Amino acid sequence: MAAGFWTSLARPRVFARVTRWMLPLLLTAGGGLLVAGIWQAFIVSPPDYQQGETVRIMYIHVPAATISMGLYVSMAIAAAVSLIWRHMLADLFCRAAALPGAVLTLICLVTGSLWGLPTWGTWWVWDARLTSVLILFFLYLGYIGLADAFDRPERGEQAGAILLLVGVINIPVIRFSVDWWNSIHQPASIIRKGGISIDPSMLIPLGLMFGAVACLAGALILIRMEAEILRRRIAAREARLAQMGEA
Amino acid sequence: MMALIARDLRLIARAPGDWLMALAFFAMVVAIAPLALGPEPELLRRISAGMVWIGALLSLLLTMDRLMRADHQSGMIDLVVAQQGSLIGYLVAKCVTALVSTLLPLIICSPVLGIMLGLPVWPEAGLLSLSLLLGAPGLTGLGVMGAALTLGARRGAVLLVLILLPLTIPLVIFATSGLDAALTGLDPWPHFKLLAGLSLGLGVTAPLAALGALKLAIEE
Repeated sequence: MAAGFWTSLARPRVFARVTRWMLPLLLTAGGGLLVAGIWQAFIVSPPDYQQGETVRIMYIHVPAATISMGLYVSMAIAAAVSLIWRHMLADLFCRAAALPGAVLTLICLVTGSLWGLPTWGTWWVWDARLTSVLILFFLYLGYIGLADAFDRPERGEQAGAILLLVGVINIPVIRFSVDWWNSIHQPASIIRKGGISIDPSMLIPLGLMFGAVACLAGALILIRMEAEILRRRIAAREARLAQMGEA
Repeated sequence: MMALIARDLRLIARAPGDWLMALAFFAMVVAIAPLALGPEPELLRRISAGMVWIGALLSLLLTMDRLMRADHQSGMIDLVVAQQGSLIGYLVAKCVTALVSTLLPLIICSPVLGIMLGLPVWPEAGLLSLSLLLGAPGLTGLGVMGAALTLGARRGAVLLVLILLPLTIPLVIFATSGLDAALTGLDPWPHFKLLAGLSLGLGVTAPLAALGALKLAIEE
């Protein structure tokens, strides 16, 4: 049943129907989580015993970082789907997710810099973690540029799909950069081998913000996909009208 | 395939302007470094390997844009498909062309530019040339892939640089850290072995992506 549900989602008409109730759901959930998360992050959660108030940057930095990487992986999966089965919705997903992904990566880099100055004493260092995230940002930009560079949008999307698959090699590098090399960035410290290693007073706002960013990014992608579908429908109708005018 | 390679090599020999221009561009990029950063010998020696690599990369990526464009526009790629049924031979020929017409001149001229920036003649300038040679398979593979992906694109040349530079970063890192090690009296070989491994891996896998991209380009 589960597989049937997911494959039926790939049909544009079903997708449109699901989006109709999914979008308000995601928007309300995202908005609610965002309000709760900001309240928790700024008011309820305690300052860190070492970093003081600057630790609150974490509540936007970590969700942005994780979701920007997650979006890239999901785009790469969609790219594989699109190259194997030539499915239009997979291409639309990649196109729609690229800009939110790039913006989230930028948010991650900027908040990381702002957090780095008080804690590390520098805005930026050229170490493995920071550089590989910067490369992720460039990969997003490269995809956006390539997808938009052709007269026929399908050609840009297919070429972009190949680029996405090649670039996915960067994701494990980002993930493990803090373990493979000596990095100024701390290693993974929310979930370690021994279980969750962060206090609930910080885990709760982090979880809320994580949910908020995920829901809002999902909603944004759905809106962008719908807009692109409508734009193509308009273009097709205009082409038809022009043909009728000629005849 | 041999016929394709021979044709491309003849084209290169008869129109030397293309690759000479790339070489001049390479020399200019490297020569701007002492002018922009000041002629202090110690500083220039430190950055020489990196500057030569940056110049080589930019020069390579800018010429890759032209690698298949004429063939695409004249319909030659379609002809190859119609005749041979596959693009593999054509791609191999293009890799050889890119290697001979762009990378080989860069590899040969790089020690001269390194020495101009104050790199000791032996072994460092030789190692610089060697690092480009080791990186050549990967650079060629990536370059051909980028050329195939952006075939027929608007603003193709800029786009090519934008999508390929991030992918070449690992090669640059291993090459320049090897040369850095050599300059400080350490063993460059661990870095160079990683560079060679990565470069050969890319040299095999990137043309596969190029094959897919080329098929897309000729569908239109």
